[in-house]
Amino acid sequence: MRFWKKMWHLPDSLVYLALLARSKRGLAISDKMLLWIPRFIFTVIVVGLTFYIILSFIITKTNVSEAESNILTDVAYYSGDGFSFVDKDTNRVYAGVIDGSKFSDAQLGALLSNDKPLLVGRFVRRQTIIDYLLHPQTDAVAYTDKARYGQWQPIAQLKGEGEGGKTPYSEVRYVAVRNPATGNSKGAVVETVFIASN
Amino acid sequence: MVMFRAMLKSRKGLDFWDIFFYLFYFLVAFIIIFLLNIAGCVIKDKEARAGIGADVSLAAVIRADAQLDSYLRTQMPGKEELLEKMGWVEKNKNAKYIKGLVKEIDFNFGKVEDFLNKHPEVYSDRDYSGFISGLHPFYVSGSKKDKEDSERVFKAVTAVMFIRAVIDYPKKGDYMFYLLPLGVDFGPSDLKPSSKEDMCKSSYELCAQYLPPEVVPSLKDPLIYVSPVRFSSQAIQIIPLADATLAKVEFRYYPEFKSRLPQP
Repeated sequence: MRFWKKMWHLPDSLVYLALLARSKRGLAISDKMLLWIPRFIFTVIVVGLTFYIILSFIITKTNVSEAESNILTDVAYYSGDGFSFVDKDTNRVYAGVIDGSKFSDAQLGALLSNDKPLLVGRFVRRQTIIDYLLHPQTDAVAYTDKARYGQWQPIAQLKGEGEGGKTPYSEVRYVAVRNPATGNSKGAVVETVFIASN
Repeated sequence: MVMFRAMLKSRKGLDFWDIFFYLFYFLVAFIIIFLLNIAGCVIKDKEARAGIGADVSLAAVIRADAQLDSYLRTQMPGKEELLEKMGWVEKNKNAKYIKGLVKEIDFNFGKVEDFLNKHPEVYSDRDYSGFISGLHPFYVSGSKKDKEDSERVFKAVTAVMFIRAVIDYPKKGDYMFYLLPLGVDFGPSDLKPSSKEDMCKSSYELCAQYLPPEVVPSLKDPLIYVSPVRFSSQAIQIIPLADATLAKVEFRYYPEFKSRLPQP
C-alpha cells in the first residue's frame, strides 16, 4: 500500500479507506476518521468558493432599458422624423426646437414602431409655469403606442420587480415650440415617461 | 526536503497532499477566471451599458445640451408679455415659495421695467441668444449703472422665461420654484465649463440661478457624481457678438430631480 501511495501520491485518507476495505475486522472509528470532518469542510469551502467566483462572472441578462429609454427619448428630439423642427429647404434639423404640428401619436408611433414590443412612451407638453399661471391652456399629449401604454401603465404604477413587471423612466426638459404661422419659438416643458418590460 | 519527507510520512493532521490539492483547486479557479476575463468571453452589466454609450451620465449631458439649445432658440417675448410675467413675480414676491427666488435674483421691477422701456432693441424680434448679445454693449460700456442694469435685467428676464416649478410640493396645491443655473462670459479666455461648485459666485459675468435646498441638497458638495444625492451636467454654447468677439454660455442640469419626476 505504501508503494501505491508513493506511486499515485494518494492522500492518507484514501489510503486509509483502502485499508478499511481490506480489513476483516469491520469498520472502527479512529482519530483518522475524525480528521475527515475538517477535511470535508475545507473541501466544501474551496469548491463552493470556486463555483461562486465562476458564477459571479457569468451574466446572461443585462438590463439596458434605462439606457434604451434615454436613447429613444433623444431620437424623438434629434431625429428629423421625430418632433423637431426641420427646415424643408435645407433639411436641417433644429435640435431643441419642437414643431408643434409633429407632436402627435402618429409621428411618434411611426418613429418608434420597431420598439413597441419592448418600450412605450408618453410625452406631455406643458406651458412654462408662469405662462400656465397667467393663461392656462390644455397640455398636449403624444404616445408612441397609446393602447399599449394604457395596458402597461397600471403595472408600472405598482413598480413591481421581476419577470412581467414594468419599470417607468421619466425625465423633464425645457423645449422651444415653434409656431408655424409666425416662425417664433415659445418656451414649454416636455415631460417624458417611458415604460419598459423587466 | 527533509521537512517535505516528514510531511509525507505524517499520518496526523492535514498532510502535504491535502494542502497541495487545495492549492490546486485555487489554481484551476484562477485559470478559469483569467480565461473568462479575456475580452469577448463575458460582458458585465456595467460594461454592457458603457459599451452602448448610453449610461445615465451621458444621457444627462445630452439632455443639458439639448436644453441649452432650446433656451438660446427661444423667441424673446414682446414688451407687454415680459412685463406681464414680471408683474406676476412682483405681485407674488412675498409668497412663501417665490420670495427666495426674488431675493436671489435681486429682483427690482421698477428698474427692470425702466430699462426694457428705454431699450427695446435688446429684446425685440430676437431670440434669447440675441438678447444676450444685446446686453453685451451695456455690460462693457464702462458705465457702472449700465453694467448693473445689464446684470439685473439678465437675471430678471432669465428667471421669468425659464423658471420651473415642482407641483404639489411640499403639500398639494403648492409649487416649489427653481431656476437652473445659466451663466454668460463675454470674451472668455477658454471655452471650458466652470469648475466652481457655485458658478454664479465667481465664474460668470452674467449669471442667474435659484436652487433651493429642497431641490439641491447642498452646493458644498464637489461638482462630481455624489451618489445618490446629485451631480450636475454642464453644457457650453458659444454666441457671436456684434464686435466680433464671443460669449460663452454655460447651462447646468441636475438629474437628481428624478425623485420628483412625473409618474406613469
